[in-house]
Amino acid sequence: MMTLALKDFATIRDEVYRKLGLYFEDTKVYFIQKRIEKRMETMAVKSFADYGFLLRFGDKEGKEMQALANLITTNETYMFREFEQLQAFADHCLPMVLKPREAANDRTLRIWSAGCSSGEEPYTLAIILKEVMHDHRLWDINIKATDIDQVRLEMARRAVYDERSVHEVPPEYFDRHLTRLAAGYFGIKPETTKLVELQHLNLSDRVAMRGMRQFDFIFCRNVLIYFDEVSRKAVVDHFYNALKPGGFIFLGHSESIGRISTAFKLLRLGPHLVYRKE
Amino acid sequence: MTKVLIIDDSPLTREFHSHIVRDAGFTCVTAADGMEGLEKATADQFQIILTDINMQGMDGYEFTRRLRQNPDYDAVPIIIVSTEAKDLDKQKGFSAGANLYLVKPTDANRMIESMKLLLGTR
Amino acid sequence: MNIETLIANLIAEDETDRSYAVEDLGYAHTAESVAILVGLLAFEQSRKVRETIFTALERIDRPEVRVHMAMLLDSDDAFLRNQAVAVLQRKGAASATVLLARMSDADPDVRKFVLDTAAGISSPEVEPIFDAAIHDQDINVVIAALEYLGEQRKTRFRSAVEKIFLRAREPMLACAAFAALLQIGDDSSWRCIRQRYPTAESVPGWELGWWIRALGDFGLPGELEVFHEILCNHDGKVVSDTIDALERFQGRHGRVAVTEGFWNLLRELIQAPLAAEDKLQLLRVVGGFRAPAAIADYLFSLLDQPDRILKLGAIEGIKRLGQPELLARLQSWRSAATDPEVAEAIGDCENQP
Repeated sequence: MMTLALKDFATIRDEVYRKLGLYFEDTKVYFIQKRIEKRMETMAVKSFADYGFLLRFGDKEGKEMQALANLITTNETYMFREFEQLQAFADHCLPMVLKPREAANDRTLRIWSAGCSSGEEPYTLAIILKEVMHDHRLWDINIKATDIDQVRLEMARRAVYDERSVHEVPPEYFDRHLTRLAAGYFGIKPETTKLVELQHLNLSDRVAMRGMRQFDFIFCRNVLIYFDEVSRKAVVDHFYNALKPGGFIFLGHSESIGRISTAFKLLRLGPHLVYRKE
Repeated sequence: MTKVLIIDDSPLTREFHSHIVRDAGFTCVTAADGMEGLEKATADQFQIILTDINMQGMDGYEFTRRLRQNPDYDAVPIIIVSTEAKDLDKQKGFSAGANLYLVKPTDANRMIESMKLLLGTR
Repeated sequence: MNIETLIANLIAEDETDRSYAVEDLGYAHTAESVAILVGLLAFEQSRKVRETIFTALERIDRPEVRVHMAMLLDSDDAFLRNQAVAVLQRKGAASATVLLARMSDADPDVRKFVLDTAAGISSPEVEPIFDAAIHDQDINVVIAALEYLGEQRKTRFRSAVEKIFLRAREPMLACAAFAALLQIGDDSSWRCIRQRYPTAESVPGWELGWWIRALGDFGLPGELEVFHEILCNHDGKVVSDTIDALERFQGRHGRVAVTEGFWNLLRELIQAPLAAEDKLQLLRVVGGFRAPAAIADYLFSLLDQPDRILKLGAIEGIKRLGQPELLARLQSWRSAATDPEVAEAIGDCENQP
């Protein structure tokens, strides 16, 4: 097979960005190429240029785009996933929100983990907060973790995970927040899980979404790509409304909210780019 | 080495302008809309920006306005390159913070001369 | 919620309340809600709410929406214009009527926006817009039309594009026509391209890459030597494009014989400092020529060289030659291979037919 000419890659990349809000750097050529080749074989398409054409003009219902999306995104969830982004949150964004709050003697912190699945993300956030906020006991902290899938929510409620889910937890945090259970499983300590409130929620349910207000942070990582363009816009619309002014929104690190709404403000904090409601 | 950011929703125009810019001895990065342009400009420092106006999502005026809010881009020349030729459009460009407004189809020599002039005055 | 409350929320202090009121209107699907939403655009300042207004309009499936959006195409406000384009695109074929109506606007900017909108709608009903655009008086409309019909592979415009290509004076127009020809051209287009640019030397600047690509896509079997000339005179910038085009040329013409002189040049090129992927591709191309005995021997000689790229490329080339005895020879060489990647590359040819 011919190597994926940068031009053909750019066409495919632009279309993925347009339809899914997912952005891939030139450095990801090889990664994408392998996955595109799989799709090409299934669809009996011979060249990358032809595949780009199929994606752009031969995919009216977006099925091929979704099939490609399923290959280029990993569904796996584990604690401390996308560490750099969490660093941006902990090192930069959190202080920006906490400082004025503290000065005004209003020690509340509201976080929403949207599409929390089996709970790895909200518990990760809970750990981070307890580690980074030395006076967290003085704060009224609530991490609302929502998902549409009751089975996953039940798993989150149990807060028991296998090795794969916890392998990225920084060693120094491990013993403070996790307990080793039998047969290679780990439980999250109640002291930590109590920061998290689990709730069933369908992101497309606009009535339910309107009930979500006054958040300082919203995390919705690698969830929106599975929505169609119109629904995605509606969800992000609600996220904006759900944030307090000055609140931050975090999508997956390859996802770009800019494609969905330009109402958020882009900030550079150290090496990180983040989006904020003004 | 002078780094140029080229923002345009037309792949052909991006390629055309990239070639002109490379011919002038600069390097370049491209973006397909204002938001992507803003992300790239924020993540890295460019010495000069070429932007289209009519793009989906964030247009060139909004891009220019927002970029000017970034202190790193206070003095960086921004050239608007657009099909629209009316005085009102040009006025909007300057109000948004652009230094120059060129009308398409692009005159390569004029573009290079303008870029060198704008870079030289810094 | 009653109508008074709704209207009160539309002008509420809080941006979020206004946002939700707008969203509710989007679910009302009435002509009045369309009128209210469009009217709000005149004084709603928040960018967020303005975006929500368009999301709401997008949701309403009524002809009034399409009419209003079509009217916004000549707005002075770029935001309104671009949002209108997006809404009209989302409405698909239903937008064709209003778009066609606006295609006769005196303002070329409006005509370009109509074209931009149509380009995002896959439906035969917008085809007349492309027909109008390719013959438009305004050069920017034509350039945009060329780009779109090339991307969308609208082959029915081939002869119109060829005519434009031959007479274009403005560089961007010529480029746009050339790019479109590369997408929708056929063998007769090569004659047209040669008419404007008979030789590689006659091609301006960076269009050379395209000319070379056209050579690969449309060149005749007897034109293999043109590749040789280009590589002889190249300044390094076109090597990648030339190797690419050569592979496509082979794909169309099968095993063509390579001259002694060209073969010598190719061997020099293989040893030159090329990008890895270009070298790999070049070696694969080498395996696509006729007279494989000499070539096979050469490729096997590369397997003994320390350069790993050469080894991997040689394996690709040998596989491409596709002869069972060569594959067997390659297999026996495998046992001597110490590099696992090299061994793996050879291992693949067990699965070759």
